[in-house]
Amino acid sequence: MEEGVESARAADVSDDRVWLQSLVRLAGLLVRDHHEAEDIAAEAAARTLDASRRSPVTNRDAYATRVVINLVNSRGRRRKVERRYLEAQVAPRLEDDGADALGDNELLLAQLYRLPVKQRTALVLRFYLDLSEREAAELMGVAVGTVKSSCSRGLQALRHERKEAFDG
Amino acid sequence: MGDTEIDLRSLLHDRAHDYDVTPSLTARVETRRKALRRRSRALRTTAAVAAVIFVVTAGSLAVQIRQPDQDLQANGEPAGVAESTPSTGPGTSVVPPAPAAPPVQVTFHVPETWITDEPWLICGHARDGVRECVGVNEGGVDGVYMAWHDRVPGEPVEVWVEPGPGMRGVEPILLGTVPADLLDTGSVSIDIEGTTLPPGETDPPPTMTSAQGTGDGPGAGTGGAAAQIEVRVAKAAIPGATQERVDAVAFDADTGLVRISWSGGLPECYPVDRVVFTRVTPRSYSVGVFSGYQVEGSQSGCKTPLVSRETLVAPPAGIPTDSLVSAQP
Repeated sequence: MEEGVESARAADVSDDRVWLQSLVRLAGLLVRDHHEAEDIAAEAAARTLDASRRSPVTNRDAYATRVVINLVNSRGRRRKVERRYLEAQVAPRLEDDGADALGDNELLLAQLYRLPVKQRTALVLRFYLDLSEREAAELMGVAVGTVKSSCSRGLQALRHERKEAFDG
Repeated sequence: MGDTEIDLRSLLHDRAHDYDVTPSLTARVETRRKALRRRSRALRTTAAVAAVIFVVTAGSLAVQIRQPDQDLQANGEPAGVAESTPSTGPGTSVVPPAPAAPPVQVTFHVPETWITDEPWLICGHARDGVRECVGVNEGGVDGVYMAWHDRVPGEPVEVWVEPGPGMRGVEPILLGTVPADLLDTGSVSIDIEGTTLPPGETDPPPTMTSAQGTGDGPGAGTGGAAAQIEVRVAKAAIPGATQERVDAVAFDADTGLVRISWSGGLPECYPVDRVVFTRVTPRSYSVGVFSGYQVEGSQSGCKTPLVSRETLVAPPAGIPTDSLVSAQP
C-alpha cells in the first residue's frame, strides 16, 4: 500500500516536472531569456494550481499556456524601458554583427525575436505547439483571422529579412 | 509549406531544449502559490475592513474615510466627512524606538488624469520623516503598488503627492492621513479621486559634467567606452531568491528613477539593503549606497523609485540616457 502511495507521489512529481518543463520551454521561446522564462513558468504554474484549488480547471495545460501568454504580453507592456535594453542586448541588429557572422539558425532566431510579440506568439503556438489556428486564437484571446494574419506577416517578415541579409 | 516554415518549426523544437527546468523551480512555484494565497487573503481583509477614499480638489482637500460600521446616507455617501487642512510639509516628531513592523502593502488607484508625462510621486511619510514614494504613472489600471517600511505600529502615515525629480513650480499636496488601525491590518487599498494635478514645469533630462573620482573596481578600464551605472543587489536581501541575476537596470529619463529587474528571484517586491551605484567609465568609484529601497520583481509590476535623479551620476555629454543601463550578475 505504502509503495503504491510512494509510486503515485513519484508519478505526480514527475508529471509536474514535465508540465513545468513544457511551460519553461514555451516561455523561453517567447521571451528568450532563461531566467525570465522560469519566472513566467513559475508564476503561470502557481496561478493555475491556485485556480484549480478554487474551482476545477478542465484543461490545465491550456489554462497555464494562456497565463504564460498573458504574462508575456503584460511583461511587454510594463517593462518598456527594460525591454528596449534587453532587446538591444539579446537580438542584435543584423547590421551590427553582420549576417555572415551568424549561423542560419541564429539568424532566423534573431529575426524571430525582433517580430512584434503577437506575431511571435502566433508563430510559436502554431509551429512549436503545433496548434491549429482556432486553438491558437482561443489561447491568444483573438480572432482566428488575427492568428492567420499574424503568422502570415511574421513569416513574410522572416523571409524578407533573411533575403535582405543574404542578398544585401 | 515553405522553407522558412520548415526551418522555423525545426528551430523552435530544437531550441526548446535549451530551456531546462532548474531544480529550484518546483520550490519557487510553491512559494508563489503561498504568496498568491496571502495576497488573496489580504485583499479580502482589506475589502472587509474599510475603504478609504481621498478626494482631491483643486484648492482644498477633503479626506473621506468610510468604516464598515459607519452609517451611509441614502445616496451611498458616508454620513461623516472629515476634512483636513493642507499642511505645508511633513511634520517631524520624536517617537520612542519601536520594533520593526512588516511593511504595509499599499495600492493606490489614481485618477486617469494623473497619468501624464510629469513625474509626480505619491509618497508616504512615516515616523521621523521616513519617506517612501512611487511614481503615479507606475501602476496603470492595476493601481500603484508600494510597500511602506519602517512604520511604527499604531502610527498613521501621511500621504502626499509630490513633484518628482526635475519638476519646478509646484508644491507638494497633502492628500490625507491613513489611520493607524487600517495600516495595522497590513494591507490598504486607496482610491484617489479628484481633479487634475496642477501643471508643473519639468527640467530636461540631465546633461553631464565630466567624470570624477578615482579607484579600481569592477568594470574599471582604460578605454573611453560608454558610461554605465553598475548596480549590485545584495544577495541576502532577497528572501527566497535562488539566482540573484540582475537582468536590467534602466534609467528612466521621464521620472529620473532607476529601476532594476532581476530573474531568479521571487516576483514580488523585496527590500534590498544595499544598492551600490558605481560609475565604471573610465574608472569606477562608488557613488553611494542606499538602504531600505525596493527593487522591482520581474513579474510583479511592483515598481518603487529607487533613487532620485539628483543622487545619480548623470551621463557624459553626448551619451544617450537610454545607454545608461547595465546589468551585474
